[in-house]
Amino acid sequence: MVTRLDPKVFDAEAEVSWCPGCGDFGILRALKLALAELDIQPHQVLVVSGIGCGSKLPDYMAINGYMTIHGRPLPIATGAKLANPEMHVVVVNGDGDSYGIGGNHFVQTCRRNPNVTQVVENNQIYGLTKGQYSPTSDKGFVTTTSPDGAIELAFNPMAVALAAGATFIARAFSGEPKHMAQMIVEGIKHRGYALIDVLQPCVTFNRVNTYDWYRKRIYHLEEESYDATDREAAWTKAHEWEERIPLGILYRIEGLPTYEDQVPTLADGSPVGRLMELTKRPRPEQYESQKEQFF
Amino acid sequence: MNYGQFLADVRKRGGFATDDEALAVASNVLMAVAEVLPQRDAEGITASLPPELLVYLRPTHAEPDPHFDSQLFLGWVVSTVDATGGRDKTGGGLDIYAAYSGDEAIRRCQCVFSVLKSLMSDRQQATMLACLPEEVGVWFSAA
Repeated sequence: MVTRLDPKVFDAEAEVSWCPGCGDFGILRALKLALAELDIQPHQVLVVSGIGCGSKLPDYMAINGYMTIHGRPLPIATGAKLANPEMHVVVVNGDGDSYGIGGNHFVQTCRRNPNVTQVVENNQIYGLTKGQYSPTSDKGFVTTTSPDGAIELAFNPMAVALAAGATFIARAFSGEPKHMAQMIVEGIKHRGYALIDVLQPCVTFNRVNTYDWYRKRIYHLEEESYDATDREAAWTKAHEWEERIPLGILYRIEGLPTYEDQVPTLADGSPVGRLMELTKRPRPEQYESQKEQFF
Repeated sequence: MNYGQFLADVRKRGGFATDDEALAVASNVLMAVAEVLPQRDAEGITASLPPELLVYLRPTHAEPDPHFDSQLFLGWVVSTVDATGGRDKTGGGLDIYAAYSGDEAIRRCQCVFSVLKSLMSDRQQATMLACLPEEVGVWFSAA
């Protein structure tokens, strides 16, 4: 990918504390590449995360970052987007944070369709807390909290997103940063909520779903004659797992209004936009009142 | 060198207890190499290797992902390291096994690289070096 902006502008000074070989490295790289490809400057993007190994990502980028409490990045991101629709808002969090603790927010965000891009670091385990099974762990998966194997069926984020009304659903693999960056580019370009579920090995605590395990199963929808606007085909692809796992855009529908398009109080402009207007044509009493609200 | 000798050599240089362990390490290193090996170079590099290893070195793409870096390479090899000692060994927030699994993975890479290099011509080594991510190239050169 030849990028317009040098991805190095997003490099931060913080030392990365992920385990050596962690799939999160590929996601960090892909996100920088995607933002650079879209020529989005560091000050034009907000990355919101939750709690978990992957949620440390905003620390490792020179951007506006916000680490929320566990499972809450989507409502925070929606709020940020409503306050300032000009800002590119990207959520990066893990499968536990997104589909478990924040599961309800995930469903509501799918049906609301805010112009927010979510990259889920799906390693099928809770890594930061040392290896408990997560919502996306396969049935029978043995961990410290499931010594006899996970009892529940795995949560299927693609199918749930589709059923809940998501307008962009894609899947990538952290071992293929170039393809993942392209998925993130398409997700950010999409007007509305975009889910990019990234299959990502946890090299320390998940000894089943390794790079090798994924490599043997993944294939690319782009290499087939696949129509991503076909909802029924997407439903079928969303249920492919174990033997073959599809990567690429499973479902995409354009032209639907976003959440912020439909919020009546935003018809006269966004809160941040109105504040900026006031600073351009200052009316001191209004400015002071706005300042009190925000600071 | 035949396949059995290859595994015995990896086992000896890596200090592995069994041939199975040596194979797990060697196959993961080779599969990581396959991620960065363009199809056009694969044949030249693999010509002198035992044929049983070629299945692991089959390139996954016609053109490798240019953003596949040393951390991704390491990810394939760390999978063979018992990073938690079988149970949680957290000491003051630092998992003492996971924290050093990278050093062990690099050592394992180098042990396989050293056996590979003993089978390769200078030209083959140079071709392979050119394919590897920069940091992995340093490990390869030092092996």
